[in-house]
Amino acid sequence: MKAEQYAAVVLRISLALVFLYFGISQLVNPNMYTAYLPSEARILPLQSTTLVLLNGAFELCLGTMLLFGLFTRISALLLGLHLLAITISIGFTDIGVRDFGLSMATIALALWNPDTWSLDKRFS
Amino acid sequence: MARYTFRLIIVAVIALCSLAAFIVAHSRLPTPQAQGSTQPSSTQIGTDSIFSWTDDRTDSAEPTVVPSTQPSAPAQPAASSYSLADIATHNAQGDCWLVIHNNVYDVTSFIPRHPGGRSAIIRYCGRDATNAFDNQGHSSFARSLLGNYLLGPVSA
Repeated sequence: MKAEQYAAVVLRISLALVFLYFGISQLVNPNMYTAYLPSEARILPLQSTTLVLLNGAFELCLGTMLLFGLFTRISALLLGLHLLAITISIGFTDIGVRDFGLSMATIALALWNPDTWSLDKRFS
Repeated sequence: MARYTFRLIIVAVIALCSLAAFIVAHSRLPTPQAQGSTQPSSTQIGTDSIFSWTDDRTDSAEPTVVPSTQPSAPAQPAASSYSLADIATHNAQGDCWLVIHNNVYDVTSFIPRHPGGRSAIIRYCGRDATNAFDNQGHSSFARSLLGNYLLGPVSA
């Protein structure tokens, strides 16, 4: 087997674990993340902890889909754009630059065909 | 078609599980009544953890912006150590001191550049932020920046 075949698998699973970690972390400790909400979030009639929990559930759901390779391109695109929006919100800082790289890697995954280990491939 | 439907069913199960996780996490949130005040005491000194912070739009309860005549000067030169009472008076966005590991830092000029947003740091102005700083998992780079804002130790 050629090593290239594993490239997308490694990328997909590792990125999925990143999103799962942060998704679960937000659900377990929402107070830790409220400071990261952009000021625009104040217009929503929801508590900031609720917004963090919703975001955590979103990342948990799509992160799980990405982990199993379910609708890989859609889930990767949504997660990539989501992280890109966070990156823009954070701005040009060390964390912002790091998240920019992660978001671009996730979007790159969306541009790829589903890998051989994904459920998309198995059920196509 | 059947395979596509099967994938959709799995996605629906994952979405339901995520929704259940959200509901469980939301039900674990303390109610404002149970928590008492949602605002930090700006004069309170004591080791506080970011985990114990009561949320609910606390951003609106940020300390008042006090225009400072020397907003970004990292320094009030002279004093060799600083009392907690003195530190507690620097509790505004325009004049923000905080304590980390018994050292006093004037982070006023750093507030706009804090990667986690202004509110994450402003809430600790005039207070001990040791636990919050440690629990947030700051990088070694972030820790190295602290030295730029050091004023001195907290007086015994």
